[in-house]
Formats: sequence, C-alpha cells, structure tokens
Amino acid sequence: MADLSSRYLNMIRGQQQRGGFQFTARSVLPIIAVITMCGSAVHWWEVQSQLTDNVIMAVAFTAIMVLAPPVLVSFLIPWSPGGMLLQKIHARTWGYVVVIIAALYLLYYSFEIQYSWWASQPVVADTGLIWQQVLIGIIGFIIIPALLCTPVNSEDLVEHVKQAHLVKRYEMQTQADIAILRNTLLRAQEKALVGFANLTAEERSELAMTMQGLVKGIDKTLKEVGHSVKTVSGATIPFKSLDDNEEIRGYLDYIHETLTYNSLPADQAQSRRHIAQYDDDDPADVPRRQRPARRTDDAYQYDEPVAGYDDYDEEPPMRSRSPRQLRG
Amino acid sequence: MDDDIEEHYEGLSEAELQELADILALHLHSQLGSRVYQLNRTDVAELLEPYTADLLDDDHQALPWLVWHLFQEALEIEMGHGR
Repeated sequence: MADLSSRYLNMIRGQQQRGGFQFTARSVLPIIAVITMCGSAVHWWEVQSQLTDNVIMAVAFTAIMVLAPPVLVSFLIPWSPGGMLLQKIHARTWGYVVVIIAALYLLYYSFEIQYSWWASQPVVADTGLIWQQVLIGIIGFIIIPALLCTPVNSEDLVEHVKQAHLVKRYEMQTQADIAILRNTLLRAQEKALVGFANLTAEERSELAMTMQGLVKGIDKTLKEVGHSVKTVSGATIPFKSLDDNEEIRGYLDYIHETLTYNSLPADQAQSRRHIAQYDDDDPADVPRRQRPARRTDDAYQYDEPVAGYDDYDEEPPMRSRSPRQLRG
Repeated sequence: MDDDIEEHYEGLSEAELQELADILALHLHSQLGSRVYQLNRTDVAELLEPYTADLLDDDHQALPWLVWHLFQEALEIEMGHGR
C-alpha cells in the first residue's frame, strides 16, 4: 500500500538496481559467446556453401557445426559442482560414451576444416600462424559457448542424482541379498548333510518349501526395488530372478532333493527297509551305517530303525540325540 | 496560541504519519547505513525519541513500528525478495 510510494523504499530499490549489475567475467562470457557464434555461423556457412550447391544441406550443416560442438563439449567440461556430479553419474552410461565420441569427432572435423581454411589464407600461411589461428577458432567457436551451456537444469540434476541413487541401492541390495542367500543355502547344505536325517519326512518337506519361499521372498523384494526405480526414473531396470540363476537354482534343487528324498511312499520305504534287513547279514555293516552319513543317499537309513539294531550293545549314535527324543 | 497547539496535536493523519516515518527512516539509514536492518523495535524507538518526543502518545508509539517495518521491507528488497 504505502510501501510503493515510500521515498525510503524507493531509494533502497534504486540502490539495488544500480548496484544489481556487477561486471564479472561470467557476465561478459555470454556477450563473447554470442559474437563468436555469429562469427562461427559466417565461417561455417562459407565453408559448407562451397562444399555443396544444395542450400538446405548447407544451412543444416552450418547449424550443426555452430550448435552441436558447443552443446556436446559442454558435457565434457562441467564447471559447477552439479555438473561434476552429473558427469560422474553419466560416466558409466553408454549415452555418455556416444557423447564423448561425437564431441571428439566434431572437434576433429572443426580442427581440420579450420586448418585448411587458414592454410589457404596467404598471410597466415606465410607467417606460419595456422595452428594459433585454428586454436583460437576452436576456443571461440566451441569452448566459450560450451562453457555457457549447462547440460541440464537444477531440477533435472536432482532427478538424475535421485535415479543414480536408486539404481545404486538396487544393485547393492541385489548383491547383499545374493550374498545372504548363498550363505543361507550353504549353511542349509551343511546341515542337510549332517542333521536333517533326524527330521521327519514332513519336516524335511516343509524345510524345502521354506528354502524355496526364502528365494521367492528375496525375489519379491528385488522386484519391488526395481519397480520403485522404474516409477521414479521411468526407466525399466531388467530384473533377473534369483530363481533363474543357475547356481542358486542348483543349490535349491540340491537342498530340495536332500530334504525330500526320504518322503517316499510308504510301500517304497518298506521295500527299502527290507533291502536293508537283507543286507544286515553281515553284522559289521551295521555300525558303519549308524555313523553320521556323509552322503545324502544314505540318509534314508536313519528314518526307520535299522534291522538287527537291537542285537548290538553300541549306543545309537544320532537318533538318540534328536530333539524329539530329548523332549520325550 | 495554546489552543492552536492543542489543535495541532490532536494527532497526525495516517498519511502524515507515514510520511514522517519515511523521513525518519531515511534519516536513520543515512546515519547508520545497512546496520539499521539489525535494529529491533526498542532500538528504533530509542533512536527516534529526540524526533518524536513532542508527539501524542499514539503517534509516539506508532512511529517506531512504522519505521521498523520500513527497515524490514528494505531488507527484503536488498535480499532480492522485495517487490
């Protein structure tokens, strides 16, 4: 209200406007860039119009040579902390490799053409200043405009950083999950070799299902992380299921086989018991079978009482230590 | 004469009060520079005391507020948020 007519505030505003513009190197840079890009347009038009009679092509190539090199080179020479971070993030992408190659080729092309152009200027050729002139041309036509270009604005930069963070988190989580899973499966494998023989068929089957569920649970977590990456960035992260991993699949199959081997139909188990009974003709075999099995194929021998077992004084080795018996 | 004085001191109009605050703010700013932005209302009142002692109580109390408010507006302008 009264503020707008306040002499005091008007004085402050006047001071601000007078002192608002500071003559800095950065403020001069755009002026130089505009001048050099105009010069670049004239130079490249002269060159391209001599290379072809087609005006449209000449205009297109002039536009390319005026605009493309500074824009692409701006990705290579960041000069703000945000630009440095962006370059670090992009450095691992294929797109950045393409940008580098394209920028280097445009620099080379610009150098060659300018070299030829200056070499055809008699005074420059006579004085041997071709290199110097070409380098000044490169600086003026490409480097200075490139310094003005910012590859992305601040919002995009934040988005890029967020995306890179999510992808990194996804990778780390995947690796951590695989490490945990491998460790868990190996531990389970060890136990399967030694102690699972004491479990009932149902318990073993349940344990096998648990192991499968564990892998599926981790898969689900990874899928969720992948989905969140896709939601935020719009980019689809290819998800490779752990279940598809040959090594993990091998572990799972092994554990499943180990645990469920004894879940045979009753008649089959019965026939196995009979076979074992016939084998017991040689009493020396019995203690060997009663030792903790090193091969999982032997595990079935601990499911049922071994025939002729009572004839021996030796104490039952593992059966007696089963948790169920301890509780009982 | 006394009656005239009494009439004069019936109180300042809003526009007059604003103009006086403006002049006083300019005066303090010219004396103290950008340090005026660090003054609180009590400081402003103390600095304005010699110029506002003969005003009526209402105006006397209102002026430090108005001047302090002007300083805050000026600070916002200097910080680039001003209108």
